[in-house]
Amino acid sequence: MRNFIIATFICWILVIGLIIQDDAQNARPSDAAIGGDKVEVVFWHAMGGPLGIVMNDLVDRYNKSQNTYFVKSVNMGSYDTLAKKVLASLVANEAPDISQNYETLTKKFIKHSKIVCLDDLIASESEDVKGDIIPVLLENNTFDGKLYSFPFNKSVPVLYYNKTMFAKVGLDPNRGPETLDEMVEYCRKITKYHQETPGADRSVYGYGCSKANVWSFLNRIIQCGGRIVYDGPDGVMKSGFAEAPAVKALKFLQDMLREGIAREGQGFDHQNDFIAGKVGMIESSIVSKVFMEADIKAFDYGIAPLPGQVLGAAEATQPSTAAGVINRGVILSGSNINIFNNGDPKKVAGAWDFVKWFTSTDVGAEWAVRTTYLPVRKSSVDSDIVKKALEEDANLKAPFVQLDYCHFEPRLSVWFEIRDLMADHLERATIDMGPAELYCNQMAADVDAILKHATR
Amino acid sequence: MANKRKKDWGAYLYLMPTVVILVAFHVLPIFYSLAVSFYEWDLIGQPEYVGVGNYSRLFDDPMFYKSLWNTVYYAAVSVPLSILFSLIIAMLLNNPISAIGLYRTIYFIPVITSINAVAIVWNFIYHPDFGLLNKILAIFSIDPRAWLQDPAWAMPAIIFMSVWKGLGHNVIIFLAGLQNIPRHLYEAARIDGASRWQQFRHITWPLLSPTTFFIFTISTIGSFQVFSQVYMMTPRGGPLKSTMVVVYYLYRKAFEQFEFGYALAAAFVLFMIIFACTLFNKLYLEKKVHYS
Repeated sequence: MRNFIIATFICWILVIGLIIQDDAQNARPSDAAIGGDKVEVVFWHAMGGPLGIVMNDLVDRYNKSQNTYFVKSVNMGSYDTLAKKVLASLVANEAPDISQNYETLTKKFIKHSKIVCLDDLIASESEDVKGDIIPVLLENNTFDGKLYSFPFNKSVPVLYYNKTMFAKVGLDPNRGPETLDEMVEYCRKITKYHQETPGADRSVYGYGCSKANVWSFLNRIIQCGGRIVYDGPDGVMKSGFAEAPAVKALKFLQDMLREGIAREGQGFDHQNDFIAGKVGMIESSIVSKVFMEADIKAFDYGIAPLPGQVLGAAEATQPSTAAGVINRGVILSGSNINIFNNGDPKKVAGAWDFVKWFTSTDVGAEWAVRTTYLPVRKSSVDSDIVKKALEEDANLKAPFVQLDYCHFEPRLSVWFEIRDLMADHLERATIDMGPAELYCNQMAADVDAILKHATR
Repeated sequence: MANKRKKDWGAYLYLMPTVVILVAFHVLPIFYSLAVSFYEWDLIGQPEYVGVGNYSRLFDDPMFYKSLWNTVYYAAVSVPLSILFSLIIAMLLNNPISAIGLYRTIYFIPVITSINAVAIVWNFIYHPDFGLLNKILAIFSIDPRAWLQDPAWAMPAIIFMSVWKGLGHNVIIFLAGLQNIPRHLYEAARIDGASRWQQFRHITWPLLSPTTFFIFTISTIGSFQVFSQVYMMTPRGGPLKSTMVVVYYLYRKAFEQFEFGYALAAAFVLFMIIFACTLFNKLYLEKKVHYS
């Protein structure tokens, strides 16, 4: 018996000893030996499925292209999970060297000096890196005049439409609706055809989107000539949700739902409906293309820029708007790259080398073509790789048409909270179906209450 | 005396693994969370002491009250329903019928299935257009419903699925309780001419009360902690936040809005509520229990 107790005890000591030793080994600053004396750069991302395949492919190619650095790419699952893991790793002092992140987190990282300012790294480059970045992407990643994150995988929403269905109901299958009004007409035509034609599937409808979709609502506000958050005269930030363009944006959706020509689903329901041929048009990220295309077999589909709105002179008050032309506002989505300040200049240099390579003209163009994300550089947009791809697949064109109309969401630390609140009001608006002004006013009041205490 | 102490050492040594794990993963985190609930902390920066600030903010937060109400709704409906159904099934399974092992297995399978897998399957069942439930209801000419997207139906739908999922567990415990009731009591009752209902009312129910009490207490605690099915089936806390329960609310505060102090304050309030409920059960309800 006693021997058994002693044996158990020794096992315990052994296990604890091993844990401590392993910890000590991990804590040692490793100039790490992967494939000789390469410096290991740890890269956390959220690129799964078809995107992950492209990502790993490119990372492999980078690792083979040079002998100084080894990039270890780790897929952390969703953006949400990634953000949680990055935060936890910062607390444990075991942050990765590079990670994808949203702008709101970047602001937190800057505040606590967790990331490297990229201007310092760019300063040692001979080429004009910043001059070649697409302006809206550069602005999106610039904080207080300095570049702190690098645009990496930015996407735009587009309109997917069922060409076969368009042809069947008598619409031109080679173009999507150009304006919001035209989209309503299209929806009516599609729904009506399926309701009235004998033998047609009566459950087919015109337009599908997901419930409480803040992204879509914000796009439409911009299209209607509105604004999201602005600095009020007293220096306090205010939202533009009680203004006419926002009311118009919400009313537009409510009217379509009320008429029965559009339907809202949960999560990815609208995408599944589209794949199943139940809906004529859906609004979704261009990146959904790589996830949906393998499943769309029964019909031809097209991708068009989001429909816009022709504004009158009185409505075109925002700097980016003009009267009498189609105003196509879209809001960027997707993430940027942060380089963490882990105290090892070699790793920072490796991280920067990788980011530079990944977003360089040709690699960036290839990434854009294979994943549908926007290229980061102007030279990638003009590259032969992109030009050839656009010739081969017309469905890739829409994001490039929209590139000139891109905006981004406010980069406030309270933005996620605001987004959540907005989703609640949008949800209420399409469940209760009361007057749009009501929900917009409530939304504005609630959001303004948060903005009152928020800082830029 | 010396010999006894030596024996004690052996016992402590055996206890050590469990104690180390309990202290490291239960006791320390609990006290650590209590401490953090007095701070404002986004994980990255330095925690900032705010005293009872998080708690006073919590009691002004309408969404916290809403989540509390939803949790109470969930508990108040799911616990009695679960007890009722599992008791009925346990009594049926307590009969000497053929293939009894098969039936018991069938009822127990949902318990051992991962809640996440179960939730995905139930998402299909509840689907407004292609769901099994609406298809079955259509046979009886009942109009289809968007179960998980309708503010009035989302919580009942989650409760129904949860009751189904937990049924097997309670059935097994009830079965054990039923088998402990001496047969001769029923025989005596039958000789005295007691009906089935009278047998249940005056023998089964009182003698089963320790089991019922145990299940009631455990299910109450469990239902206040409901999370996974809400997270999996109604993203964002359901239509109009109709399934936003406390644990999901604090999860969102902590891991989506990075307000750890605030989330932990909510966690502690929940802990106090569960503690109070359990204390009430122990001090008040247990008096009504017959330990034969």
